[in-house]
Amino acid sequence: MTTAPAALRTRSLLAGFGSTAVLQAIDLTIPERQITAFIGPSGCGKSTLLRCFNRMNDHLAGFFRNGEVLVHGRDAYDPSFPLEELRSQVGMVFQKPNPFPQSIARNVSFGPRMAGVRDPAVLAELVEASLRRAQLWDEVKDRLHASAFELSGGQQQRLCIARALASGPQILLLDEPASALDPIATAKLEETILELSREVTIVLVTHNLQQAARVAHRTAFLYLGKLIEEGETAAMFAAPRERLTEEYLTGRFG
Amino acid sequence: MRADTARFRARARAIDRWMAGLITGGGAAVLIATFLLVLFLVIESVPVLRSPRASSEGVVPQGVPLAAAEDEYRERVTVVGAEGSLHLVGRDGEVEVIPLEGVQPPVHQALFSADGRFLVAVDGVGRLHAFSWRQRVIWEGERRVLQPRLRAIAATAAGDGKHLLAVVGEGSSAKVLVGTEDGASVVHLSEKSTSATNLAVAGPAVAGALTASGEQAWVATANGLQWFQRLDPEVSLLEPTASVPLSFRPTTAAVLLGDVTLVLGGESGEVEAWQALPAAGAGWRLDQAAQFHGSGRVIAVTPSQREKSFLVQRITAAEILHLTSRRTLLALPGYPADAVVARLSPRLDGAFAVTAKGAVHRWSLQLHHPEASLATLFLPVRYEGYERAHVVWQSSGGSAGFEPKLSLLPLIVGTLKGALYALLFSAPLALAGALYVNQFAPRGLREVVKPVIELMAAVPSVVVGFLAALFLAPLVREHLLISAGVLLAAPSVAAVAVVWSLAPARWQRRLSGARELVVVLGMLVVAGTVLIVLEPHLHQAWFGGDVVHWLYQRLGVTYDQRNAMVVGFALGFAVIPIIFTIAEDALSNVPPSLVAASLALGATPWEAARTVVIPAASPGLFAAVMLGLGRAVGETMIVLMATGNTPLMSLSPFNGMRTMAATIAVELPEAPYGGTLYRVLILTALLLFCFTFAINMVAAAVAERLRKRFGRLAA
Repeated sequence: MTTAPAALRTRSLLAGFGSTAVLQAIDLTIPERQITAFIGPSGCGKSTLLRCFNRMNDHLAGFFRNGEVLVHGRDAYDPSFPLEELRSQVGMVFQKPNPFPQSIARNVSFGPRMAGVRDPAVLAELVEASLRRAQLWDEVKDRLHASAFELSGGQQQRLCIARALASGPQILLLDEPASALDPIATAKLEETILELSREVTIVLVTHNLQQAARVAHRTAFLYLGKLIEEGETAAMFAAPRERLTEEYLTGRFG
Repeated sequence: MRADTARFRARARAIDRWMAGLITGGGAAVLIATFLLVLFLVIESVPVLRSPRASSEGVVPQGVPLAAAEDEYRERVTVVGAEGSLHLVGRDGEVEVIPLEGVQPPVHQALFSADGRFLVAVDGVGRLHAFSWRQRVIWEGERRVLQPRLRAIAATAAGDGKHLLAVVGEGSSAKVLVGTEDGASVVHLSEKSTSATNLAVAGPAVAGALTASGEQAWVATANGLQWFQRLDPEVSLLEPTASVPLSFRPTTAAVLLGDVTLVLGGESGEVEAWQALPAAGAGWRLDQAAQFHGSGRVIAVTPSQREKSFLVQRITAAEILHLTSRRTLLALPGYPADAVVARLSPRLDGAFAVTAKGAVHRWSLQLHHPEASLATLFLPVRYEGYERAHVVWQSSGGSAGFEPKLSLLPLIVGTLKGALYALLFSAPLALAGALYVNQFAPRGLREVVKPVIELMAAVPSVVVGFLAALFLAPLVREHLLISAGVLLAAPSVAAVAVVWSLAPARWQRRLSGARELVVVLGMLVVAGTVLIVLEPHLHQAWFGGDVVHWLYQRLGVTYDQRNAMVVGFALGFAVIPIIFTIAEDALSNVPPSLVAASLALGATPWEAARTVVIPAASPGLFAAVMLGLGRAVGETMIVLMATGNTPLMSLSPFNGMRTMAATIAVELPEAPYGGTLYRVLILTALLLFCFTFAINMVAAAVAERLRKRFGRLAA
């Protein structure tokens, strides 16, 4: 499994905001077409690390960075790598569902439209394909032009996944995607994620250790801005190498 | 401890109830005050459209009448009797008789001037007598007494076959228009001398009238109308200045107050208004200004001494007509069939008629505001001296004969024009500014820019207006090219931005955030400097030294110093903070998660703004522009000072205008309470209220629809 080629890689990545370093010397390799979960207590830097991969941190006040972030071997922060292109390769789904105040179809076709696709037939095909991949198609195929706000929370989150998929990314970043959902919606979402991991690389930030255990092939444990331990989920949960990891996994802090 | 808590709770509840009552009361008071305000406006303005009323007042018998007039207080009707004396008939029937000195009975003809102050009579031996007739007011304690004063001016032999057509007088001289078998003549009578001017009329004069100034005469024959200018005692024969054939047989004529319009009455009930207008080329032509419908031979027309209404006395009826509004105001109810004389009271508050048997009938009149009707307020009106119907606002003039022209259209157009130019200038600027500050500006700039722009709203509008009128207007006039350049600045920057977006990404990346802002500002400064340096040369090279002159000569465009462009700048200055603040708030209310989502999907910041932020904030943006419009429509001081207050119907940016608010501010303090102008101004206020009310309603309705369309935003 570890022989799979790297989708994402960081080299002595240091990042932070203002005068505070949030991440310190992170060296991490994330293999292709697997689910990698980032776990760790609040404020450990999971989300910041995740946002380094599609440069969403750039929009936050006082962000600074040092070290390399490689996306399929290409430096994400290289000035010649257009931000828009990076983001169409690295999709993202946020903590709370955030559909646009538009129809379901327009929500899904947003990315392709921004990328310059104009043909309605092509867009319609993309919408259907993306919704199918997000396992939402059967639920919304009769009301593609209804407002996205009519969907339930779980459906909205899967809509956001479909929306991210429509741009055709090989990598999908999920930032605590189930934290605003009830257990049934969460289960459905996890099923979708697992299904998706056959085709795309998924990086999942989660607070929920059971979720990481259920869906992630690999898990990385971060603590106070440092990468403590990284490895296959089953191995790590069964026999963590580090004491800190064990204490976190057994609920001694968090 | 528990007791303390209970007491505390009780107190909190009491305060809560008290505050709830106070707040409810305050809100209700605001609603009631608004309602009362509207009610006041309606009550004060609606009477302007009230229809006139006349009521009959009783009959007093007396001797056989030839002519009659009434005093200002409507106390006594003065009737000229055939036996050669004046009968002053009071309201309760008492009669004072004053003999006409030197008049040999029986009197054949007698005629009062339109103002009732001069009397001419032809006596039994064919002499023409002219009298001046006054009634002086003296006070005996609390009682008002009218003291009659009859003074003979002159007398002259009239000759046979002559009939009196009109008389006017001034001081101790009078002019009498006399019709003869083969024409007409004007007899000039004064204490010193008597002379006559023969008027060259084709055929016997049937009707005629003199202007109050005594300078012009109108003479109608059986089939034509002639107009004579410059009646001079020295001239013995005068040719008509203009003449026109008539399509009906005239019977009587009178000149309306203002000396412009002649009203002709005809054999079969025709009533027509004529006026003399400068002809194309040179000279004058007679122009039919109005036609009124009615039936029954017209015996006499008497003009009002107050405004443009006149009494038409027919064979069986008497009507009061109004020239400007082309309306028949009313017919006198219970008009006696055998009436010989019918006239209006000097103050237009009454009318009277004297029958062949000498019975005096009186009416009280309440004409209210005959010059104001929905048609005269909102449609083009053909005023005296105009060739076509126009919309004009001119509420006061120099002479007593001036007719107020109260069309609200120029004011409505002016108001909308001012608001439109203000919005053209301020809305793009304020909206773009809000978007920039909210979405694109370097962090921290917002904290500086927003309070500064809101501070603009704190500048008193009188100061803005003052600066615009005395500083900006001359400056814009002097540097029109630079002003045009300022207007083009925003589109130019946008164009440069588009070109820049095509530049290599590597260059673009060097310019971001604060550096970008500095470059844009620098560009503006450089462009401004270049324009200032180049302007005089451009003036010389392209515009022959002066743009304003060039505009007029080449394009026929007139330029007022205080014009819509200046108002656009000044009013825009007042509107920008409103639009900016509300728009910025609306943009701030768009959840950042939506922006993040669109950025994460590969949208550029502009694409995120265009596709997500602006649509989501559109109800707020629309409301911002609408509130700005409401402010621009209602703003008074700036437009009062910077528009030039010319009530024009022009939409040109180089012409001034007059707004409804400014008109109310200027004219209401000088409008007599309860008068037509006062009521029309209140009506204007009501309209203005309706305008802003409608704007706010539309804003609310559209914002609501947009809100529904974009749904409730995800938090």
